[in-house]
Amino acid sequence: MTIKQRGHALAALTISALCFTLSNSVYAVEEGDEAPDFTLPSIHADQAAVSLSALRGKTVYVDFWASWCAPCLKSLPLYNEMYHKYKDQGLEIIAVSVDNPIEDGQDFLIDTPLDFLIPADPEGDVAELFQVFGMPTSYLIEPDGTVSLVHIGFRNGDIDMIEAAIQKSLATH
Amino acid sequence: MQNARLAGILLLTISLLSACAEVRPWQRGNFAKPEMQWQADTLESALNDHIFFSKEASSGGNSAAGGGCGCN
Amino acid sequence: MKRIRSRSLLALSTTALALPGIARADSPPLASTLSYKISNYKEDELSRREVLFGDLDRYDIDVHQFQFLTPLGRNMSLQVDANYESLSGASPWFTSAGLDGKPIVNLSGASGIRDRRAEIAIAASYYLDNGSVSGNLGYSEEDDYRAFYGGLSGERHFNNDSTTVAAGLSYSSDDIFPTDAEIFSRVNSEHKDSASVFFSISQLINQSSSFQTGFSITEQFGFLSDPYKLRDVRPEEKTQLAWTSSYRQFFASANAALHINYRLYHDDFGISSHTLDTAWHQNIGRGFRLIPGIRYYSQSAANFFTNVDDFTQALTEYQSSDYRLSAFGAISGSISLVAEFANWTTTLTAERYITDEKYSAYEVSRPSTALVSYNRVSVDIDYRF
Repeated sequence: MTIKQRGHALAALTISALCFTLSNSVYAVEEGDEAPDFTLPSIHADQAAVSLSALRGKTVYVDFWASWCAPCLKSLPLYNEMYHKYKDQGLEIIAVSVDNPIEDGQDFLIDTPLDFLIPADPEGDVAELFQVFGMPTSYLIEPDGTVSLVHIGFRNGDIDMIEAAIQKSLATH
Repeated sequence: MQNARLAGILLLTISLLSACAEVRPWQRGNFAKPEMQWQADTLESALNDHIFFSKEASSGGNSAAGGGCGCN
Repeated sequence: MKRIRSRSLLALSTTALALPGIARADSPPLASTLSYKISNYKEDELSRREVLFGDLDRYDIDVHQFQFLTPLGRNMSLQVDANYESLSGASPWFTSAGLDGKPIVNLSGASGIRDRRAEIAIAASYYLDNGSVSGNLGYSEEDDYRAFYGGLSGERHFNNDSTTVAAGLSYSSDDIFPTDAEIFSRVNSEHKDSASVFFSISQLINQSSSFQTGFSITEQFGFLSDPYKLRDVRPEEKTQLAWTSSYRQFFASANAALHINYRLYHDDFGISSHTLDTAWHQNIGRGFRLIPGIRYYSQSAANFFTNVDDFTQALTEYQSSDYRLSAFGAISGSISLVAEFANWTTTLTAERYITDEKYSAYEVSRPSTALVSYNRVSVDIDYRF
């Protein structure tokens, strides 16, 4: 490789390194924090708006998902089963769709109906509020409003760990 | 001519990379699409890599140049 | 009638692709996939005035590719690749000067030349929170060639996965034992080692475009000549450098994506090359995609390339009339149709590749007469479960 080509290559690498400095070191919602409140319209046109503070006093599992996120689509039917299993014990699930356009999320729900609350956050304002790190990210919120679990991604076997955390939360309240 | 071409590529690289704004995780829908992958079809890429490796003198790039081919 | 076995079987090593095929994902696959691809590759005939004696047909190759990819537990994935190819045809044996002084190609062998290659490779990846590591091993075997290879690679995400850095190394140990060695005074058995490293960076530019750039360095040691050519003497060491850049842009209004890839290459045989390929991935309705593509390739000649074999030169002098070391350009056009339905994906592909010294971006002082043009068709079926 000639000197010029090597120099060019080095320049490209340096510019890439500059992009590293754009990373946000902003406050993200972590375990132990108070969950930020939010109100969003439902993704279903005929359903009421969803507000987190309205569910204060209950165990709430908040999940951020999108129709383009394969692990999200894998997790949602499992969450539906879990919702049916524990809703009588007071579990609430809020699955925030960040699909933009909203129709993409609605199309998925036509094929795969889900029975818990599904607000729409197409501009990502609430995802920004929680500083969502990756897709999906979920938060288990205790009845007193504190976050007891932050889970990024969804892999084989994760549902068991999440269910155990929910059982623990429901049992102690 | 060679230098002018390299300078042009350099300028393009810099302008592309300096235009990068952080893409938030919930804004990454387009990158999940099969048509936006670096290699959408691995068998097609493997086939092409080896046809070209055996018909042309060049190989390598952004992945390790493998062995296993008897074509010099 | 002499029956000369031809080498240079179109080969399919998946080393280069088994690594990126796994390592480029952010998380393990969620479902298993079984894939089968069948292809036919057929080179154009030479014209009679270019060939002194023998067949005009060149290579006709059938290729079968199998792949199985599956998640393993929570954090791992496994990939198995198996390839099988069968070839018939002929390949240039030596070149000489015709009555008018222009180079003439003499093809090896009569009809009925067959060669087969079988290959198996296995790769595994382990996914961490911010990256992954992968390893692979493979083996390829033909009647006159055997290769063992392996590699290791890793990638790390930064900036909330906006930036990805990848690096890896691989090694291959090859043995060649030409057929009919005694009859044609060929070398009996030779060896070659190759080692290579790569490094790449990917960056999301905005919500609909991304850029990637990478380098690789490859070193080869050992027997690098073609034992089936009457006179082919190459150095016993070769260093290759390649720099590749890729760009992807999604167009929401068209529901399509543009791919552009460029590679700059140089080696110490004296060959430099440019490769530019571009494709347009057009979504059609729900479940169909049409992908037309164009590729332009141009290389310079090796320092020791000659288009007419010189048998008076000493055997220690480097020399080769292999067209792959000559200066030429190549243009290819391809079209693919992808159909997705339930758990199945089918892809049909057709490609036409034409070589000509007129397409070369480099100076051509000695054009080769044996340049290859070919047609290729493929059918691919994938099943997810």
